[in-house]
Amino acid sequence: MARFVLRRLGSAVLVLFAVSILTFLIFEVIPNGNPALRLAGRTATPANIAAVERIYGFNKPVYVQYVRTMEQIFTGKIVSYATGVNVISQLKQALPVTASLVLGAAVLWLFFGIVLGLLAGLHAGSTIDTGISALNFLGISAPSFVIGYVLIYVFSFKLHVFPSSGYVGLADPLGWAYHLAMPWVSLAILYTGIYSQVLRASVVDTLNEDFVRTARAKGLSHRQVTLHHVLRTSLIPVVSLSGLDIAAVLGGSAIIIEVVFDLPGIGYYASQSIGALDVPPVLVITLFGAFAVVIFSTIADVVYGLLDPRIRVAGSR
Amino acid sequence: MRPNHRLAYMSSVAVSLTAVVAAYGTFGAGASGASPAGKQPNGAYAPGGTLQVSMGSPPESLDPQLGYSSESEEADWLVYTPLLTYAHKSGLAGDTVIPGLATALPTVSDGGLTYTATLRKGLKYSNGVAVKASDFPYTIERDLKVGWSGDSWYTTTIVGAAAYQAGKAKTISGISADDATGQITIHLISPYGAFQNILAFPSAGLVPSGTPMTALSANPPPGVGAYMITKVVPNVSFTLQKNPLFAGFHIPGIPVGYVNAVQVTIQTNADTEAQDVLNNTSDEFDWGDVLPPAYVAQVESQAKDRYTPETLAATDFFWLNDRRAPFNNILAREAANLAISRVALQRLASGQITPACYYLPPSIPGAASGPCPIGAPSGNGSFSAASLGSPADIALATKLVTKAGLAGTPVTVWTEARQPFQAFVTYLNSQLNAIGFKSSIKVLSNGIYDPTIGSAKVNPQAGWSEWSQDFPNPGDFYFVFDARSILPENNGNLDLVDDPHIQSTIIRLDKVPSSDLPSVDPQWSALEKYVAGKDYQINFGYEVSPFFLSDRVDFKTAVFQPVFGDDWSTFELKS
Amino acid sequence: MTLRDTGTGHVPVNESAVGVLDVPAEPYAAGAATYRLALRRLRHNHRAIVFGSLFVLVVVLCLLAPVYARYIAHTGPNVQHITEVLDINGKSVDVVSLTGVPVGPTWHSRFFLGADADGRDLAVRLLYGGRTSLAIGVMATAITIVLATVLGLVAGYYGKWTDGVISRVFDIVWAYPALLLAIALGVSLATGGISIGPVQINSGSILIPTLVIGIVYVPYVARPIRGEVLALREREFVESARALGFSNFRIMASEILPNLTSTLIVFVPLQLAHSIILEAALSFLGAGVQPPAASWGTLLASGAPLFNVAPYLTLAPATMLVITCLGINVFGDGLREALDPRATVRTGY
Repeated sequence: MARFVLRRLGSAVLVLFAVSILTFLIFEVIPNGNPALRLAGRTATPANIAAVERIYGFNKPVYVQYVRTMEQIFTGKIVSYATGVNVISQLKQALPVTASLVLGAAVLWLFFGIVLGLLAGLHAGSTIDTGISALNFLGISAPSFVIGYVLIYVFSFKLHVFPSSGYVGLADPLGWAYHLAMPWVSLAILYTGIYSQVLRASVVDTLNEDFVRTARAKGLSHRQVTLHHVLRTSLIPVVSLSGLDIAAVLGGSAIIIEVVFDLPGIGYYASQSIGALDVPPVLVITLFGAFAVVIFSTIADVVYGLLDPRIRVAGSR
Repeated sequence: MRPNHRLAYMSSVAVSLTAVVAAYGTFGAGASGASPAGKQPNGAYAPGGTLQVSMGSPPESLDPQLGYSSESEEADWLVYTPLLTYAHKSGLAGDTVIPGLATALPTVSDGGLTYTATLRKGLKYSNGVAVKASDFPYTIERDLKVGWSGDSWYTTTIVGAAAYQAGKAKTISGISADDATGQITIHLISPYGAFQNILAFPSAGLVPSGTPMTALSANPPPGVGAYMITKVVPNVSFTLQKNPLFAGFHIPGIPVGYVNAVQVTIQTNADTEAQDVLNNTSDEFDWGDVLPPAYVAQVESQAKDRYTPETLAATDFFWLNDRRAPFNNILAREAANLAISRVALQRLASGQITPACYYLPPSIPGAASGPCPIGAPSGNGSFSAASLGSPADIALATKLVTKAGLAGTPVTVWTEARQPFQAFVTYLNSQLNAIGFKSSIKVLSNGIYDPTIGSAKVNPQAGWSEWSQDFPNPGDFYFVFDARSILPENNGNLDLVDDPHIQSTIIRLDKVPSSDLPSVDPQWSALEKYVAGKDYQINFGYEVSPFFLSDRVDFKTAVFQPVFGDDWSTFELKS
Repeated sequence: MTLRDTGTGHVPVNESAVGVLDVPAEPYAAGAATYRLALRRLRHNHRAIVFGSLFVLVVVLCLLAPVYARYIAHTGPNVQHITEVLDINGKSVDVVSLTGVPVGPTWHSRFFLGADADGRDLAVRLLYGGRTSLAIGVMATAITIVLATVLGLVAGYYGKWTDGVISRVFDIVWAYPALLLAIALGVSLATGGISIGPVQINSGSILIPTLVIGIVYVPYVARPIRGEVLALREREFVESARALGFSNFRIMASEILPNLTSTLIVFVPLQLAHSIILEAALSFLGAGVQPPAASWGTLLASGAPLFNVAPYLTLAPATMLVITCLGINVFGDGLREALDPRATVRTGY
């Protein structure tokens, strides 16, 4: 197990290195993307532009700029080209917002995904199954931002029940939940659909497994079989999935929901920075996102191994 | 409109048309109440309290030597008083430069090459440190070291500033300061009439010598002003507290402020921002933000006693590359000008521009008026005065394109992705296609737009741009027609106009001191008509900003300052 | 079958965890009989047929866009009628009001669904936008499937360092937050265009979002393919082909590939829906289709700021998007059930 985790972390370093280079290059190749031109301002003379290049080091070769930028990231001194604000402090500021969004939505989607998936799986082929499956399809076919706009229109603009935007810190738990309710729902609907489908398939599979049949044969009650064996086994893919999804959303994939609801989280920060071609924040956010994906997938694999009675992590993937 | 101010390179100067009319109309009738100093006591309102401001986008930076957006300057000009500053008044009166930390306006000698000013005595920064004359050169040096995006204003005017910036000198040789007498002397490279305005930039607002030469966006340095910045949470909020020392300096014309604190919250959702001010849970809808179309009617009816649309000194225009086909042909430029309906563009801007055809906005000295000479060169008398309200004359424009043999010429029009600019250029694109060109559109993200269109390698044909004034002077606006602005990178003259008549006029009039501008008013107006007749570019609107406050603020005495917008130091809250 | 999501999409690390289409129970290439059987199963799945037809209907409508524009709406997708005044049941209505609010649905032939903020006929743009969205979806899916098949096949078949290199590349793309990668690439390429040797793609071309979407999804399809190839490689029929001296290429093409077909077929509708939604997301964030071209994503993006005054600007493309994806997803599910030999067992529980 320890070796497995170490190996995964080793490859994580490699992945992060590649991700950082890729990000740097994506912005490097943009024509007229020299940030000095923008920073120097519209009335700048060539001398003014040269001065800005000196201040920020844009006159250095690409690899020097890359090394210097990475150094600044790891020493926590990286600042945005556009605003001069420290990127790490901005990320720390945005993280609770995105974390609140993800965790609340994850609670919703896990709860409803599991309940609906279990119901559908246990009653496969019935009307309940069909009904839930219809909901699932609707959930995975409606983009979350569309759901978000519909919610805003109905509950904010027409009914004035929920605020259309903004984030309130956890210091005010009620305000926090009140402001996040609609974003949570928008984000959770998609994942509820996916999880419910995955769980249903998994439940149906598990019910056909030998050990469940054996358990039944041993005379365990339907309820016991369902809870202990079927749910435990069927939850494995859900655990595996949720680790990754949480990581992905944490790493900026909630960008659209954050934009729609004006939540100053990581995704929002990313979209602003990409639009302004502000490389330092984009670099930090993508590294953070990739890091989250790698870490969470490792955790998911470990938990996966612990949960599954049939499999032990073999140290390879 | 005006999201452009959110990331604008220029600060904005605004003028209230209503205020202009009022100023002329009540001339001689005494103080109209715009100045807090002359204000009658009013029982309903009293000093104190906290003003809640909603701002749509965060200031570029609150560091005075870095921030140049309207949001930055709106706060910084109350915190960092320069040697000179602007009157805290609405309308044209607000365009007047008054002494700030200097005892009086500088004396000018050597035929306009030397400016001498004296620092007031007994001044202290908000942290209690005494202000020295040598803090002024330090501040300008800091501007150049931190990389203020307006630094060309200093490097092209002050002797030795460029050498300092290039690292060739330890100090700026053209500025000398005597801490004992408080005397500050500045030597200019050549006479420049608007130099007083340059000394009034918030970026010239004094900071203590020894302030780090790096961006202090999250922790701005102390300054001398009615307020001090006490808490900054970048991109979320910042707080201005009353500076307790400031009232002791008794600087005439600079209010000490009514409210104890200004709490600015970044509210990126304009709907929420409008709703909050309507419901009086926030006190100000920031002037840099767009009133959402969904709320315009509601605000106009429910809040008509606390809302006015203010026409700014900022012009939106389409530039046309004068050196590339088809717009090197005056007939093509004229056709493009005729194909554009100003009222259509006004609707694309949700009504937030005032239709225009002249370049200089009405508040700028030298602004022209009367019929617009669009189409004059075609020699077709039937349409000599295109009215601003008229629809596009597609038929005539098409005829001109055909006559010039330019039908089918490919054109690429450029815009940045933000609205309404993208809508403006989408319209330009479809109109150019309608009159026979083969036009296509290129949309760039806001971070790259200006560097791209300003590149000689790209050599773009046409697109959107704007000029928001840095200071109320026609010379500032004519930067875009100045042949000296033509550069291989960050080209400022997108029309690529190099017209000897324009050039000689600019060079002659730029020397005229700001105070003497009225005397050359007719000469600027004549230049305006000349430029319009050449159809060098398509000017189509002056930007409009909302001045919209909660009912907690005394709207009658609150100042919409033409250079810096909402003037928080004049806002008084209900007791 | 992994049903992966839209915006964030990636397949879990352990493909076995969720069970990508199980490796066919029968080791030999699925013969024509299998597909005939699948087709029969599909035909009896009424739900799949209905929703599949719904999708086809959308496609046909969108293909007819020029006809609608010319003979019914009497305008083009990019023609702006900003200052025009409409006569609706005797009332004069501005196409775009002075404060920039466009006219709502007129239910007449002109401006049937109303106008957008730029004074263009929404219904016309909706249909033209559908063409763009569907075209991008189809092309991006093709790119994903082809690249994923080739890479998955090569990686799984050759193993060793070839597999190592390809898998690491997948790791990188997969760890890179998908949407961020797509936006960053979209913004970058939409600004500069692509020019690699003789290949020149203009920065405004819809090929750019197509390529971006197609490439971003490759690892999510290629990984399970690779897993299947790994398993198939050890099967007897591959061994015997090798013994007969078949070339590697021939083994991959004629022995292994046919066994992947059913998996690939199932991936097609899935990827189609994903690609269409990602296009919408990218265009919504300004990194996808470039104006004035319409797509459902650009329509959503331009309608969103006016949502409160003109909700139909957003609801119309949103409805089309949901209907289309619903059609694809339900049909795709039917397809999976039809192709997966164990599907009947599952539902029959």
